[in-house]
Amino acid sequence: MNTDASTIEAWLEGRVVAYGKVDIGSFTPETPLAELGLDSVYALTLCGDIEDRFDLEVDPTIVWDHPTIRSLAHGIAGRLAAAA
Amino acid sequence: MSTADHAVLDEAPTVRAARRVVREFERHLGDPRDAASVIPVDRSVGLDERREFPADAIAAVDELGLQRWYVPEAHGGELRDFLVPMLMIRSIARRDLTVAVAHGVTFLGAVGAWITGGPIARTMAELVLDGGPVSWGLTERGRGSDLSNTATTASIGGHVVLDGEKWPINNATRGRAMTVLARSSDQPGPRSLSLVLVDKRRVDAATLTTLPKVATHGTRGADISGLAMRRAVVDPEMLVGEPGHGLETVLKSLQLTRPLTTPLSVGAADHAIGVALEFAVTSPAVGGPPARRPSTRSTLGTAVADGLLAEAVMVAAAREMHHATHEMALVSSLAKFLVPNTVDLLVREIAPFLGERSQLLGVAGAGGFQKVARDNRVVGIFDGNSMVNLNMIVNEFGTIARPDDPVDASLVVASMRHDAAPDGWLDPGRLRLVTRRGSRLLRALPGLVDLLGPRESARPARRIASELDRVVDLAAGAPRAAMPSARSFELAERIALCFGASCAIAVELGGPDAAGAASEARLRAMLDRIAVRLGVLDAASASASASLLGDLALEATRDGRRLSVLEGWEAAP
Amino acid sequence: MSRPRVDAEPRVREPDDLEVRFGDPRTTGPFDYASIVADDEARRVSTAAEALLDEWGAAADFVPAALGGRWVSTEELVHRWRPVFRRDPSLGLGHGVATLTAATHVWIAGDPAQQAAVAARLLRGERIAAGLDELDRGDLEHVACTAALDGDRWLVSGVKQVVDNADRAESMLILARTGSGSGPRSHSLLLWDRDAVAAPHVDTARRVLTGGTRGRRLGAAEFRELPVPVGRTVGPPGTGVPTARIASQVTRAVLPALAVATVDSSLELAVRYAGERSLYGGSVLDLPQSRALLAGAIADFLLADAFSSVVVRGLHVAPEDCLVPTAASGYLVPQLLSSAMQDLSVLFGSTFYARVEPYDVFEKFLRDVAVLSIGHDGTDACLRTIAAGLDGWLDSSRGIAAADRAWFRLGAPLGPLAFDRLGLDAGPGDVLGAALRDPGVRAALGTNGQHLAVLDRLADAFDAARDELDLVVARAPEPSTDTAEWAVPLHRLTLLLAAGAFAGVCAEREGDPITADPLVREACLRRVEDRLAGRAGSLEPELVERLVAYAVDRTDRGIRLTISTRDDARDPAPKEGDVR
Repeated sequence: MNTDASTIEAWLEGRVVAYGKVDIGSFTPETPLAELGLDSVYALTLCGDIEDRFDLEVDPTIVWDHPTIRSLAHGIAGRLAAAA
Repeated sequence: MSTADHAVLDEAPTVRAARRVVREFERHLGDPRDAASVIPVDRSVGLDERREFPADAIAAVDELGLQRWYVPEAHGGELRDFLVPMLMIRSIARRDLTVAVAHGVTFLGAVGAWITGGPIARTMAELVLDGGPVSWGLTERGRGSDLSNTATTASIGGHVVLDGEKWPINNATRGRAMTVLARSSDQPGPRSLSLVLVDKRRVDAATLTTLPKVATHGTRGADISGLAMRRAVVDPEMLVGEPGHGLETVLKSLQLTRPLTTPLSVGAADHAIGVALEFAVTSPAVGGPPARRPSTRSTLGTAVADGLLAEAVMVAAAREMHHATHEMALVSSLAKFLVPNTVDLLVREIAPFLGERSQLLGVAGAGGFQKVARDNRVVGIFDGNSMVNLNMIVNEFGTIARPDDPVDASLVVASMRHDAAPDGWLDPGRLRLVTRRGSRLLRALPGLVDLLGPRESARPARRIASELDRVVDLAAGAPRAAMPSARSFELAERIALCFGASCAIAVELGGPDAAGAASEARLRAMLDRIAVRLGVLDAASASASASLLGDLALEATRDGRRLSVLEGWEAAP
Repeated sequence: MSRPRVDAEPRVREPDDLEVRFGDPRTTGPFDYASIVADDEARRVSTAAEALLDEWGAAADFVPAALGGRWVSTEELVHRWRPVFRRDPSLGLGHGVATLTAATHVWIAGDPAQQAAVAARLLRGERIAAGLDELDRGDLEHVACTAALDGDRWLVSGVKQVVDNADRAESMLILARTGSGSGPRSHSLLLWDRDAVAAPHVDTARRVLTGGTRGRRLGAAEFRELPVPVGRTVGPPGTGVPTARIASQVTRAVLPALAVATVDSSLELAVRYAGERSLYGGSVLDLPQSRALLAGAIADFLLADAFSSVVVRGLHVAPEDCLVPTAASGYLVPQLLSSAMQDLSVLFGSTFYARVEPYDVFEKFLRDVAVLSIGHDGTDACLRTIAAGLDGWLDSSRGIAAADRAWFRLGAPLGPLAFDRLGLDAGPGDVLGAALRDPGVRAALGTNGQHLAVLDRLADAFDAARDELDLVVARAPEPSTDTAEWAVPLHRLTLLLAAGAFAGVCAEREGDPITADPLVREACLRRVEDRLAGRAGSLEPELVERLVAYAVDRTDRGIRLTISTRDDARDPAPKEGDVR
C-alpha cells in the first residue's frame, strides 16, 4: 500500500466527499476540516476509516492536532513511518 | 495489547489488605441509627432540611483518611485498586449521599493531574493528602453540558491569568482548590482549552469571589456554589497538562470519574432498600407484617435485584478501569447511564410500598427515604447527565457494531474474580477518546451465557443476548448524526441494559460461590428484571425469581445481613 | 366581600375565575412562582393566596347547592380549583381537598341536622380535617384509634399521625373503632368540634413534615378520652369504613383531575425552558431526544387529562358505576403524571436539580406530584378496590355494548351529585371499556388514520385482559393484589380503561384541534400500547413532531394544553366592561 502523504491526502479527500457534506472541488487540502461539515461525530467515523485502511490505531485527537486534510495526511504518514 | 497481558494474580496480600480497609472503614462509620455514630441518619435528615453542610461528618471522614485512596500509590497515596475507594464512598453514601458527594468530589477535581502526570501530579497529591477539598470547575452558567462552549479564559504567558465564572460547582466555596477548564486560545476547535489548578492559597484573594450557594433538589446541604475569577494570576506550573490539551484531559478524566460516581447510587440503593426491608419485617400493617404478603416479596425482590444490578455494574466498571482501560470511553458511559437510572427506578417503584413513609420526615423513624430519593437524582445529573452518556454510547455505535473480535468469556470472568486484585495502577496512556471495538463485556455476552450452562438464569440471559444481537444490528444501520434521533437514544439505552446483564453474569461467575444457590437466585432475578425492562419478558413471568430473592433479602435482614454480589468479599479474612 | 350573595335562584352563580384573581404566576405578583418557591422552602403556603381564597368563599365549593353552597357539577368544581393546583398543590390539598374529603362523608352519611351544621360552618369559612387513616395501618379496617361508649358520648383515644390542618381545623372527622370484632363493620365516623372540647383531651401541637408539598400544615392529632356526643356519629355506628370507601370515590376522581393542572404548568415551563436554553449550538428543543421526552410526557398528560375528566363526569352520569373507574383513575393517573414529570426532569437536566429561576418552581412541582401519587389512599388501596369488585365487574362489562357518551362530553352541563347513588358494588355497566368497541365512538373517529388500527388492537387487548382476569378470579377466588398474578393484569386493565376514556373524549370533542388530530390520537393510543407491553419507548418521529408542535404553539399563544379546559386562555385579561 502506498502510504506517502499525497496518496493519503487524495484518499482523505475521497472520504470527506463520501460523507456527503461537501462537493468535490469546493474545498482545498488546506480548508479546515471543521468547515467541511466534519463535526465530532464524523471525526469518529474518519478515525475508524483510517484504522481500517492503514491498520493504524488513531484517536480523534489526531484530527484535533491536524485540522486540515493536508496536515492530517502528514500526521498519518508520520505515524505510519514511526510504526514501520 | 490484549487482556491476557493483565493476568489475574492469585489471592494476593494486597487483596486481603484492601478488604480489611473497606471493612474497617464501614465499621468505623457504625450504625447510622445510632445517634453517636459518625453519620447518624437523623442528623443527616435534619441538616438536609436546614440546607446545612455536614461539616462534622466530613471532618470524621477526613480523619479516617479516605482522601489517601484518591491519590495513586506512585504519588504517595494508597490508590491501587479503584474498587477500594469506590466501596468506601458507597459506605458513606448508604448513610448520607450529601457527605459522599462532598468528599468524593475531590477525586474528580484531582484525577486530571494523575492522567497528565508531571510535576503537577505531585502538587495535586500534596494538596489532596493534606485534606484540601479540590473541586472540578467545568460547567458555566447557561451552558449545560456543552464544554466546548467554555467562556472562562486563561491567558497563558509568564503567568496564567484567569477570567470568568464557574457555576454550579460542588465545593466551590469550601474547596481549597479548583481544577478549572478555561479557553486558552481564540482559535476554534478542541485544542483551545486548558486545565489550570487554582489553589486559593496561592492566588490573590481579591481576584476570587465565591458565588452564592444554589438551592438544590437533593443533597440540600451540599456546597454547590461557584467561583468568579477576575484577572486571577496563577503560576504556570499550575497548568494541568499541556496548554491546549484541557478538553482531552477532561474527556479522559471523565472516563475515570464516571465509574467513580456509581457507588453514590449503589449506596443510595442500599439505603432505600434497607428502609423498605426494615419496614417489611417490623411494621404491624394489614393482614400481618408486610413481609408475609406475597406482593411484598416480589416488590422487594425486584428492588433488591435492581440494587444488585447497580452493584454488579459498579464492580465490573471498577475492574474494567484496570483491565480494559482502552474501553473506558464506552464502559464509563454505559455504567454512568445505567447505575443512577436503575436506582432512580428502584426508588420510584419502592415508594408506593412505603406509602406515606416514603414522604414523611421526623415521624416514627421516617426521613431517610425522602432524602435519598431526592439525593440520588444528583448522580444522573452531574459529571455528564443521562442524555450526555447515551449520546456517547450512540457515538460508539460504529465501534460496537464492528465485526467480532472474539473474546474469551472465561478471561473476562477471571478479571472479575473476587480474590483478584488488578495488577497495579492503570496506565493513563491507554485511555482513548473512542474505543476500537466497543466493550469486551458486551462482546462477551454470548460467551458468558454459554458459561451459565444448564442454570435457570441462562434462560433470561439467552433472551437478552439475542436482543443485543438485534439491537447491535439496528445500531450498525443507525444514521450518524451530531444530534442523534430518539430511536438511537433508545437503542443506546437497550445496549446499556444488555451491558448490565454482562456485568451481572461476569461478576457472579467471578464470585467465591459462583455455582451456589444464592448466586443463582441473585443472577436469575437480575436477569429476569433486565429482560422485563427490555420488553423481552413479561412482568408476571419475572415475579417468581423476584419473590425468591425477596425471601432471601428478608431472611438476610432478620439476620442483620445485606445481599450483595460481593458476598464474602468484605467478610473474608 | 365582592362575591354575589347566593339567593333564591336555583342555579348558583359562577364565581370569579381564580386564574384572574391570582394573576400570571410568571410575572411579579402576590402569588407568583417566586413567592411560591420561597413559601415552599419555608414550609408554608401563601398567606396572600389563602386570603384570596377566603374572600372568594372557597369552602362554599365543597357544600352542595341544596345546602347553600356552590357544589353542583364536580367537573366545574375541578375547573374552579385547577388554578390553585397550577400554582401550589400544597395550598390545594390543605385549603381544598382536605376539607372536601372530610365534608363528603357528611353529605353521604350525615343526618339533615349534621349536614346543615357542617354546611353552615363551611360557609363561614371554617375547615374540617379528615382524621381517617393511620400510619402503617395500610387499610381503614385496621385503624386502631378507639371510641368507647360512655353514656351519651364516645370517649376517643388514639393517634392520627398525619392529618392536614390538624392544629387549626375547627372540626375533625375521626374514624374510630367502636366494635370489638374485626372486619369492615367495627368502626364509626365521629365529628368533633374543637370549640366544644379540646385540651387536655386533644393534642394537635406536633407538626409533621413531608418531602413534597412542603407547605402543607400536616400534624398529628392525639386523643385521650376525648368526649364526642353520640349524636355526632355520622351514619349508623359501625358504618364508618363503608362510608369512607364510598366517599373515597369522590376523592379518587377529583384529586387526579386536579393534579393534571400541576403537570400542565410543568409542561408549559418545560416548553419555555427547552426553547430558550441553548445547547450544542441550538436550543434544547432542537435535540431530537428532548423532543421525544417532551412528546412522551405530553401523551401521558393527555391520557391522564382525558381519563380523570371522564371519571369525574361519571360521578354524575352513573354514580352506581363509579367504584371501578374511580379506583382505576386513582391508581393510573398519578402514575402517568409522575412518569411525565420524570421525563420532564430529564429534559430540564441540571436546571431542575440546581434550581434556576424562572424554572425553579418545576423542582417543587416534581416533588409535589410524587406526593399526590402516594397519599393515604394510594395505588395499592385502589388496586385492592378493583380486585374486590372484579367478579361482578367482569360480568357487567361484558353485558354492555354501547357506551353512554354523556361520560365523554366534557363540559356538558351536569346536575347535582347524587351521593346516595354511589355504592360499593361494581355497578351495572362499564362504559370506559365499551368505548373501545362502541360503533358510535368508532364512527366519530373517522375512517382514516393509523389510530383506528391501534384502537382495534386495544379492543382486542381489552378482551384478552378480561379473559385473563377471569382465569385469575377462578384460580384465586379471594380478591387480592398481593401477587403479580393480580397486579399485572389489573394494571393492564386500568390502561385499557384509560384508552377507552380517551377514545370517547376524542369522539365527542368537535372543534378541538388536538383531540381531532389523527396523529395525536395515534400517539396517545400507542403510548397505551407501549405501556401494555411494559415499555414506554419513544414515539415515532412523526407523532413526536405533532405533539411538540401543539405544545409549542399553545405555549406561544398562552393557551393551556389540557383538552378538558373550556376556557382556553392561560392568562385571561378581564374584558372591558365585564364587571361582575
